[in-house]
Order: sequence, then C-alpha cells, then structure tokens
Amino acid sequence: MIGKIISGNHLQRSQIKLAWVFLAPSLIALVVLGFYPLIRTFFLSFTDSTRGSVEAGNFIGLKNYLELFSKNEYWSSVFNTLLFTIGSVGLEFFLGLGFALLANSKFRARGYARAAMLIPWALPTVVAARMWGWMFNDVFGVINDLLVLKLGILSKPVAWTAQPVWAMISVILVDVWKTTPFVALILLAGLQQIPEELYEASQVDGANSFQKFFLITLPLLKPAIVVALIFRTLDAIRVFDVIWILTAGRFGTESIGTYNYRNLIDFSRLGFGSAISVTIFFIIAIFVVMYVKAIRIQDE
Amino acid sequence: MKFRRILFRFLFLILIILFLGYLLFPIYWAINTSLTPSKNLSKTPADYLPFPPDFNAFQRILSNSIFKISLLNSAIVAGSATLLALFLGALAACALGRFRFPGKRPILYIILAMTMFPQISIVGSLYEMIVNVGLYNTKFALAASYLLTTLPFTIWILTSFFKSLPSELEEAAYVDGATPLQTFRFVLLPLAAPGIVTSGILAFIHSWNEYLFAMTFTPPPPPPPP
Repeated sequence: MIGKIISGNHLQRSQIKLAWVFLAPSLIALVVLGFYPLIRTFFLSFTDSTRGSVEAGNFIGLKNYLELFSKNEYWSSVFNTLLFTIGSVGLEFFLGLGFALLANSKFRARGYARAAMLIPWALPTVVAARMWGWMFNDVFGVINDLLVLKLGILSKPVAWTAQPVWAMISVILVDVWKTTPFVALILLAGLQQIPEELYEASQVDGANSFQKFFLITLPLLKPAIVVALIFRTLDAIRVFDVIWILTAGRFGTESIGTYNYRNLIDFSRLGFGSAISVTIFFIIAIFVVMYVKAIRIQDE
Repeated sequence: MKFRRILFRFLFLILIILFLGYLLFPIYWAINTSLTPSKNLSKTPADYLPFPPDFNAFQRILSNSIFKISLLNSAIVAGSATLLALFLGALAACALGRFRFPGKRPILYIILAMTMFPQISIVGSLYEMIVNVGLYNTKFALAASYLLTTLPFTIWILTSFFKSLPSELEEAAYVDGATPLQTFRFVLLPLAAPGIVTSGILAFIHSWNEYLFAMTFTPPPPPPPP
C-alpha cells in the first residue's frame, strides 16, 4: 500500500518533469520565431534603422509614430483595410451561411458539394488571385466576355482591377470566393450540432420555416457565428497576398499590410515599417483577446 | 401541392447549380486557359471549350528547369515544415492534453492566441534575424519560420484530441509498469493518429500556400524565359 502511494507520487513528479521536457521544444520555437522578433519590432520602431545597413539605427523616440500618424497614406491604408474587412467579412458571412444551410440539407450530391467547397479554400491565395486576375482582364477576361458579349449587361468592357472602386470590389470578390468555404465549414459544423428533436418539436407546435430558422437555428448557431466572424476579421485585417498579386495596392486597394510591406522591404525603412507593424499588432491583439474569450466561454 | 413541391425542388436545384458554378467556374476557366493555344487567348469572344486541347503549355512548363526546382523546393519546405510541426506539436499536445502540471491553462491560451499571430508584424525583424545568422535563402529558414503558424494550431488540434482519449488505456499502461514516455510512444501516439493526419494536412496546405515569408526570405527568381 505504502509502496503504491510512493510510486503514485513518483509518477506524478515524473509526469510534471516530462511535461516540461515535451513542451520545451515547442515553447523555444515559438519564443525564437514569435516573441523575440516581436520585441525586436517594438525596439526597431523607435529607431531610424534601414534594412541591409551594417550600422545599427539611432534611437529617435516616437518620431516614426509621429510621422506615421501625420501621413495621409497611412490613414487611407487603414481606411481601405476597414472597407475590405467590412465588405469581405460581411459577404462571406451571408454567403457562408447560405452555403452551410445548403450543404446541411439533404440532397443526392451532398458529399460532392461539400468536397467542392474545399477546393477554393485549399488553393494557394496567390494562385486564386492570379486566376481571377486573368478572368478580370479588361480586354481578354472572361468576366467582360460574359457581361458584355454574352449577357449584354454592360455596354463596354470594364477594367476591373485597374480603376478605383472596382479594384476594391474585385479584391473583395476574390477573397470572398477563396474564404467563404471556410466560413461555411465552421457554420456547417455548428449546424450539425443542433439536435434534430428541436425541429421536430417545433414542427409539432406548428412552427413555419421562418420561425424555425430565426428561433432555433440562428440562436443555437451563435457560438459558431462568433468564432467564424472573429477569425475572418483577423484574417481580413492582415490581408496581404490577394491585394499584392491582384492590384499591388494601387487604385485605392493599399491595405495596412501591403503598406507595411512596402515600407519594410521595398523602401528598406525598417524603423518606420516596424512602427506600422506595431500598430497592426495592437489592432489584431484586440480581436485575439475577443477570440480567446469566445472560445473560453464555449470551453466552460 | 404537387406543383408547389416540384417548383420548390426546381428552385433548390438552381441554387445548388449556382453554388457549384460559383465555386468551380474559376477552376474550370484556369483549366480551359491552360489547354488553349496561346495565340487564341487574345481572341474575343473567348473560347469556352478547349477544343482541340493543346498541351503545349504543359510541355513547356514541365521542361522548364526553374519550374521543376521551385516545385521540388516547395515540396521539401512544406514537407519538412509539416513533419517538424507534427513532431514538436505531438509532444507538446500530449503534455497539455494528458499530463497534470501547474501552468497548463495559461500556456494553452497563449498558444491559442498565437494561432492568430500577425506574420506581417514580425516579417521585418525576422528577416533581419535570418540574414544575421546567415540563413537567408535557405530551405531550413523557410521551413522553420512556418512553425510560427503551423505549430500553434497543430498543438491546439492535437491537445483536444489527446484530451478525448479514454484514460483507462493510459492507466492500464501505468499499472503494467510503463513509464510516461513509453505510455506516450506506445499507447497515446498511435491512438492520436487521426488527429495527427488532420493537423498534418492542414500544416502542409498552409506551408505549401504561404507567400509572404517565402517572398521575403528568398531572393526574387530569375525572369521566366519568353
């Protein structure tokens, strides 16, 4: 009996030790790749460092931030990011909900429809943006071909990705195509967890389809909706690939991410660029806190 | 009543077709374009069917050495990034999902928060670090940098997987005198295989598709041949 207790204690102690041994490689990797560069970024944002120069930059206090906040370019990139986020996340939510409801209803090719949903999601964003860029082409693109020649909706071709307003709409549409499946899959998982009995009971009580949707489906889907919305908002705020490929940030599509990259790498302004990075980090951090809280509530 | 049902089914069918068309038409168009001779690509109106199919583009790309090297590089980087994430992630997830030790919950939530880490915020300083240690333009630097994204979600997925395993099996192993390490290797790890496959696929897709780091930590490729 005593021997058993001792060995139990021993087991627990060796478990604690082993737990840290198991965790150490991952924690070290995340510190080296995440936390340390983040601290460097904070530090660099207070200097006038340039990329690729041998000498270290000088400490210049808040000068980078003052320059940043007085720049129209910065605020317009923030505004564009906001526009992109609202447009893409809003569309993705409504379309994704529709897709999820469709994929959750019973029909013969349901398995294939669900598989088809995965294709845009699994495709590299760069490839998706290139494909759509070709479809959006003002002279040879299939979109103009369809809308002008086949359907006659437009009287003359539109340069979708090369003029203000349309460029932003194009970027949003590509993002919607690429990530609506992801939203749909999260919502589909939520839909599948709603017990069938609730619908049956409401059927007995004489509820119509609208009442079922607004009084059962939507309230019970709320946790999945919250997760999907926060997740997508985070992704939309740091958007880079699709804009960089499709419009290179021209015609009113410069996002805070592409503006950051331009300054960091293209203009080699490491200090100034780092200040932009810090502002992005804080915007994202707010949403991360919301996300972790949402998950925690569901966890408990 | 019967008419209404037919009408309803018809509308439903149209919805499904619109849904699939929206998802798949761009893919179709890419395939169509790839099989159309390049001189016909500047034709208006465009050809909607690639007849006769022209495989010249595929021949050209498969005989292009830059393309082949890039493909191989992508496979090596994504493959090793995945294996690395799975190896480190399975160890960490086992500790977080099965062992009892102080400080577990905060670590779990920090890792969850890190699944959303904004890569753009550190791309500048990570670039400097990689250049300083002489790893610029190496596959290792790229594969390692992907851990920043793949490791947190691998750990998160696998932890919930390890957590869901019945504790009887583990206890049986301890009763038989197995050490925690042996229990992990011979009991828990095989049981977590489905979770490892799932997170492995996700990690591979992420590493294969990644653009920002790949563009920054390697020099621009030579211009393609005409």
